[in-house]
Amino acid sequence: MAARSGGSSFVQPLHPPSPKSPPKYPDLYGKRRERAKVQMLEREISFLEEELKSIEGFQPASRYCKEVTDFVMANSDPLIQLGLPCFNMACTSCCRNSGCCCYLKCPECWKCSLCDCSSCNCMSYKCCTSSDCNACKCTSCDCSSCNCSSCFSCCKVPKWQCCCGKMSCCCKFRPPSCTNCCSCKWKCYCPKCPKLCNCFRCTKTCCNPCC
Amino acid sequence: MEKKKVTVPLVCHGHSRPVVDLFYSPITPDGFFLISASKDSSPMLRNGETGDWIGTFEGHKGAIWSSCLDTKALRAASASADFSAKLWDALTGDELHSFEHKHIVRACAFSDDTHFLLTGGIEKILRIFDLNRLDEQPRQVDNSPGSIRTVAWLHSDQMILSSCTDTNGVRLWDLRSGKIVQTLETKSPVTSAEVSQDGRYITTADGSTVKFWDANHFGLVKSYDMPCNVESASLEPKRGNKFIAGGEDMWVHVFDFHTGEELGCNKGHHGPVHCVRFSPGGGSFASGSEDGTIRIWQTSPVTHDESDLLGSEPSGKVKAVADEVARKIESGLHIGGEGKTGDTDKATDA
Repeated sequence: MAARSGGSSFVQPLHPPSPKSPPKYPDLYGKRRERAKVQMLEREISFLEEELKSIEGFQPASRYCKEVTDFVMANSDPLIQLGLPCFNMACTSCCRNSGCCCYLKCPECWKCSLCDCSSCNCMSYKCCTSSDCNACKCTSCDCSSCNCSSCFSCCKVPKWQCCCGKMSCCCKFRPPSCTNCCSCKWKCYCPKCPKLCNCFRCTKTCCNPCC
Repeated sequence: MEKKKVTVPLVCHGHSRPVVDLFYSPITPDGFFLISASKDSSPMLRNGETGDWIGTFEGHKGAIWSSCLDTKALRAASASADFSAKLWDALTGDELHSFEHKHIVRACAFSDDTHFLLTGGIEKILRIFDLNRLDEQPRQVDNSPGSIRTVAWLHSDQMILSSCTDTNGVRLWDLRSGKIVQTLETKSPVTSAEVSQDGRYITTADGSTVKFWDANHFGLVKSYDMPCNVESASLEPKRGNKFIAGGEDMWVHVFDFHTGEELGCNKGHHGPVHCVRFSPGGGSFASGSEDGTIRIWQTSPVTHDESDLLGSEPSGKVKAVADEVARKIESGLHIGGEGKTGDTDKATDA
C-alpha cells in the first residue's frame, strides 16, 4: 500500500532484508510432498525421542523446589535471633543468655546472680540453666521468692530438702516420699494442724509442734 | 530528540535445532562462505556476506558437532554424533567419503594445504586422514588426556592443537615428532580455540575467560574476564583490535582487544550463543545459537533512526535495497510482507 501523503505522513517501518532460507519442501507436489512431510515429521520424532532419553535422568523440578524449601525450613536464618526479642530495655544481662525469652517472666531469674532480672520480665527457664545458678539463694538454695515449677532443675539438691523450714517455699512438687519426717524442717501450716507432715505421702506425725 | 542507534543483524533461518558451530571460508574468487553445524544433523552452506542459504549437506544420522570448509571452499567436512566424519563436495553437495569412528566425533579441521582432515572426539584420539588416499588408515596422534572438544592446525600444518571436554588447557602437538610440545594452561575446559588468520594468536574461551596466546612463543598475551560463561570467542582478523564473545547470556559482546573495554552488545538471540566467528574480511561476524538461528552482525553497525531504518547507510548493498523498496512503493505493493520466510525479529540494541 502506498504511503499516504499529506498532513500526517505515515511511513511503515521497513524490515531488514532477510537471507534466503532453505525451502521447506523442495519442488515436490502431491504424493511426493506428502512423503517429504512424513519424512520431516519422522525426523522430528527421532530428535524429540533423543531429547526425551537425555532428560530421563533429570529429577522433577518440583523435587528441587521441595529440597530448597526443606533446607530453608531446617536451617534458620543466622541473622534472626532465636526466641522472641526482649522488650525490656533495662534488661541487658538476661538477654546475654542464649535462649532467653525476656518477653515472658523467668521465675528462676528473679535473683539470679548470673543475671539481674529484677527488672526483667523474662519467663524463660532457659535463662538460668547453669548448674551454678544460685538464684534461689538457699543455704543450699533460697526459695523465698522462687517460683520455679520444677524443683529439680533450679538447685543442685532436691528442692524439698533445701526448701524445708521455709514457710514461703513455693515448691509445687512434693517430694515423692518422706522417709524421715523428723528431719523434716517444714513448719506445719496446715490450718487444722493435723500434725501431719506435709510431705507428700507422709503419714507420720511431724516431730515439731504444729502450733 | 536523540536518535537511537539500532543494529540489525541478518537472521538466517533454516536449522530446526541448535546451531553449535560456524566456520567461515577464506575469501575466494567467488566470495566467502559460511558453513553451520547443527544438532538437526544437516550442515548448511551459506553465502558469507548475505547469509543466503546455498545448500544442505544431507546424509548424517546424528547431530553435527563441527563443520568446516577447505581453503578454496571446494570441499566441506563435518563431524557427527553418528560416529562418522564426512567429506562433501561443496559445489554439488555430494558426499565424497565417510570416515568411520568408534564414537562421537566432536571436531574436524582441514589442513591449510587441503590435503588432510583432522578429527577428534570422544575416543580421545586425534586422527589425520589423507584426502588423497581416502581408503588408507589415518595417522593417529595419541596422548589426548580426555574427550576432544576442539582441533585446529597451525604453523603451516606443522602443528595441531586440541582441547578437551573435561580437562583444562590446550595441548599443542608437533606433527613431525607426534609429541605434545606445549600446553596452554587454563582454569576451565576450553570450549573454543581459534587460530588467527595471520597465525599470530590463538584465541581461547574457557569458562568466563577469553584468552589470547602468542602462537609462536605460546605465552599468554591477554586474558579478559567476561560477564558470564562464554562458549566461543573470535578475534577480528584484519586489524586485531577487537574481539567478540558469546555465551550463556544470549548476547554477542564486542570488546576492544587492547583494553578489554566493551564496545557493543548485540542482542537478539533467544537462547545461549554457542559459536561466534568473524568473517574473513572482518566486516561482519556471525553467531550461532541454541535458538536454531544464525545471525550475521555488521562489525561497524549502521546507525538507524528508529522511524527510518534506511538511515544514511553508505554501503551499496543497502542502497540497492532502498531502491528496490522505493520501486515497490511506486508499484503499490506491501512492504516487507511478501515472499519473506520467517524473519520477524525486531531490531536489536547495540
